[in-house]
Amino acid sequence: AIQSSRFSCVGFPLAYIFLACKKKSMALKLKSSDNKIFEVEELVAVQSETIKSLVEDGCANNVIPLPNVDSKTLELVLDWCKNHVDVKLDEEKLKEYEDKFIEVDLAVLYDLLMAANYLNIKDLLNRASQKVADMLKGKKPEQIRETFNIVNDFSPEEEEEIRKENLWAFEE
Amino acid sequence: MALPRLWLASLPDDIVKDILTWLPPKPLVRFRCVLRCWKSNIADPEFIERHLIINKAKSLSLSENNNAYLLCNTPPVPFLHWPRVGELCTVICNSDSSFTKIIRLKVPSHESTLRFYNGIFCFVGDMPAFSLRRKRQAIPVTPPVRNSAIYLGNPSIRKHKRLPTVLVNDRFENSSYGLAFLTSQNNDLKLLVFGRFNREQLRAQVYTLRTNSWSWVELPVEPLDEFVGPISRISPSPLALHFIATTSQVYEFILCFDVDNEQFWEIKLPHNYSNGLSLKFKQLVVFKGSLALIAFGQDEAELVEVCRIWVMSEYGLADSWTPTLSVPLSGVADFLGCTGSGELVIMKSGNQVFSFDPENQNENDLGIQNLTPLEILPPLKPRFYTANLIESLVLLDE
Repeated sequence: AIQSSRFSCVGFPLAYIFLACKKKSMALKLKSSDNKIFEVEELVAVQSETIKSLVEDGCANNVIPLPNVDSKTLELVLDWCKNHVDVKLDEEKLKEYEDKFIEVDLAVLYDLLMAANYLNIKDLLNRASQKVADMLKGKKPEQIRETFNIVNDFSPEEEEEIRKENLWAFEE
Repeated sequence: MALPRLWLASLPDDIVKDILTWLPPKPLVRFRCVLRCWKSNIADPEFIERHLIINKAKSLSLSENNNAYLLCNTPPVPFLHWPRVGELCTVICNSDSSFTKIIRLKVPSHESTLRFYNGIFCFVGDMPAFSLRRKRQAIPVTPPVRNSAIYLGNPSIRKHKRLPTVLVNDRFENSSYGLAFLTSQNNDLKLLVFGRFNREQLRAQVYTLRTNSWSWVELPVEPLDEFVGPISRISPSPLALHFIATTSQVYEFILCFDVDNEQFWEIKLPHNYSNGLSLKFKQLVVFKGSLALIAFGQDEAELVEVCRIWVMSEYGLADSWTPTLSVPLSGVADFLGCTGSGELVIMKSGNQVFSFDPENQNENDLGIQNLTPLEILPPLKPRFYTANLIESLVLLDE
């Protein structure tokens, strides 16, 4: 068995591998944390910088394990990627798609943020961050502390001083 | 949508920082009192730069920006106190021609030297000096020795800063200013100032925000006589300031200053642009994305007040100057700017602001003559109109 596997590795014509890689959209296999296999075109998957560098390092010949992303999230992420392959897509349509895509409940939004961060997909991370920022925009500092579960480390006097300096920012 | 407790607490710091960069300046200023590290994070130059890049992109994407901004100020009052106080005010004109969110800012009094670019303004204002004299005298010093300083300000975070004095300050008489924001290399801010020593040769200095210092720049050979502001940025050509300059031989041209490389060059003005026109005033503008010269005056043949626009269709190429428009337009007291679609925003008597579409000559009152200042100050005067304003945290770390 050892011999045969060695044979397949070494004896495989290098030129063939080269050609296969050059082919425009090779299919990649991604494995989610719950062991589901997703078969996607390379062009779609390499929007993730993380996957792209794996492909470039030649580590993408077999199944690529993504232990930090579950299948539900991965499906969403890949849908996003599929819709962002064609850069020349109508800007308005793309925006419409993105707005609809990001209308998800908070648990999903959290998973998307984490997945986009791990897979390093800039535009998805930006869109998801923007969505959270929109929710934080009108909040008071004490509400922020509560949502982030942060213990205030300012003394009351210090906090008062910052507030006094920027009273306008606390007005409605 | 209410955020459930603890939801964000488990996000990594990097993502939290990412999220914060998408917030406008106002909540960010407020969130500085959430936690010590938030306070330092938000005022961190790197964060400010990232925030700036994002907001720059936002202001360029049309879908995000239907608003326009008008900067108003109060003219200087006959002084009661020194330094005199003036007011600056940013009005946001919504696309449905209502206006909202007036940002008001008390600043040292300033005169006609106000410049406004990409949400940052600069002006020459009174310098708070004479502390010794004022201690001895209960009555304000009258009249004060004229002592002024250059200020930079950011209305989005309501902050302004006095710049260090220009090199050889006492005999350097400032005469013209150009404000450039966001050099393409590193999102820095630069300010170009022309001035003279002892009324001799004109020289130029550049202020750089990052280093908070001034340096000399070499002016082209000819000594220059007069400058008509303002500045403009023409993309995609290099980020540059444009002035109308005149030599002592009454040769008029456009003096350009490359902000990145700190070099000057020259562009010719349209040939005989003032023929048949008794000129009231002229200005450089960005008209539908191109460098343009706009002139207001009286048509000598037909004896009506007109507005003429020449467009330089190919940037830098003098042959490409095209007389594009000449339409009757009367009673213009000041020209404030151009909208993205090429409407002119003008001020008439009584501080009334109109948008004027030169294509169909429709005039539309923006209805902002009723702005009253905070205190007993002269009425606010509209000064600048800009179609895309970048809300930034620049100067927050100062």
